[in-house]
Amino acid sequence: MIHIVNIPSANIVSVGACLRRINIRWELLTATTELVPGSDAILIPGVGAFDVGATEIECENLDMVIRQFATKGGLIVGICLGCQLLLGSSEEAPASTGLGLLPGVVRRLPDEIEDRVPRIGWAPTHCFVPCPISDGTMPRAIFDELNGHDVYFCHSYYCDVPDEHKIMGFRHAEKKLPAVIGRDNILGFQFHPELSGSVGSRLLACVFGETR
Amino acid sequence: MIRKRIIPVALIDQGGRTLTSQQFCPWRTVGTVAQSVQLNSLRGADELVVYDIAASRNNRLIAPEMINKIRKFCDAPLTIGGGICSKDSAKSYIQSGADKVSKSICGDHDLTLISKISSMLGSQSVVAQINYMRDETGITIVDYLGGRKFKWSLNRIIIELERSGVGEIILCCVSKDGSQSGFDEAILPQLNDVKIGVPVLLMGGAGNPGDFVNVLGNAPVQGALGSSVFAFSEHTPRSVRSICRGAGIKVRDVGPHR
Repeated sequence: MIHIVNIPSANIVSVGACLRRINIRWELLTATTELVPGSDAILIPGVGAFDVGATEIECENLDMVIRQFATKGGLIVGICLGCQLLLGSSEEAPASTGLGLLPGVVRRLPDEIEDRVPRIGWAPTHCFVPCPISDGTMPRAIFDELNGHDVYFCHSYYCDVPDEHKIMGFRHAEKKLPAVIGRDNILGFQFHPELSGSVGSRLLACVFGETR
Repeated sequence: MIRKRIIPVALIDQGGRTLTSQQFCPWRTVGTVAQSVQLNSLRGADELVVYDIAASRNNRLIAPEMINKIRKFCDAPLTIGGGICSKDSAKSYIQSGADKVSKSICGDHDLTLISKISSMLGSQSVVAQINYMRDETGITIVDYLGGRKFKWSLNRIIIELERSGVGEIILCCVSKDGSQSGFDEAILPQLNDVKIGVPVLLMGGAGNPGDFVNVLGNAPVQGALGSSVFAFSEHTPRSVRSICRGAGIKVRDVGPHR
């Protein structure tokens, strides 16, 4: 079962509709939900400002639930804002604190004439070489399959993480910035797999494959 | 670099009928919203925009059930507009299934509203639509609700919108709406002069793939919207994209999966 973190500004219905299309069951995460690593997973959805998301997670005491589940090895997946909340802090809201499950800082995308901010639309994503994810812990093959495909982005900030957490990247202002980040049981997508057509649905189906 | 977007727009009424309009007057019913978004989604739309054209006029919101239904039939990124009058109404649209919300700018107060919405949803999910008329003397920004002319210039509105934290701007030429005679290309030089930072989308006048080619080659224009072209011609978002690609415009590559 997938447990979606209820951030009121997030596009939960949109993510939920995609999960339903690929026959993955989901419900909203509550502070009292009993979670079993291996058969459950937590999904932190996107859309919203960093402080709004961070405050909401803290108010509902979900930050503790998420951190404890992460410590036990449970799968945690963040999308867009949810991906940024995996880090500890963001330039968007310096006074707010994220989950800190991955090292790094969320930074504003550099403005360029050709590369506008917000960065909205379809763009290709490419693997970082070598892939920092060891075999067996994550479905590595899906990243090879995703390599070079256009996926849907909608963001003004990006996750500036150390190299060992960069899985896939996108080009912006002549830099390769992280599009997929992670370690062991923590995975973040800066783009929206749920809006990225069949390649995005396959990605989610593969990531959540064992937790149906 | 981010790809240029081909975006079908569905204009709906309260009952969920899809209409086409001419100069902002409803003109012909062309189906239901479920049918329209599902078809355009299947036909490879890069995004979809749905506007309830009577919501603001009648001081009502789009029903959550309607947005839910639209979401069910659409797997593409979805922007919903019509009736947004507060921060909470914008949030409720996202909660019901939208990925972005769009608001027509009808007065100074809308700039304050845009700023409130973007501080909650983040800029990237907030779209502002500027409606303008063109005649031989130039362009006039219009408030489609009050039927009044807007006192500000296009440049000033764009600067103020960017300051309010808007994420994207749709420039809609009302004089071209429903004409299928091509986008208002005369606006292009002005866009380069204003130096807009956020993505700009053009709306009004799309009639064939060449119309998209003519505007998408310009740097500030990140996408173009079409309604009648997808309702009344043999063209689909996919066929338009393919012609744009042939003309050297960077558009989405759907790949072998679809």
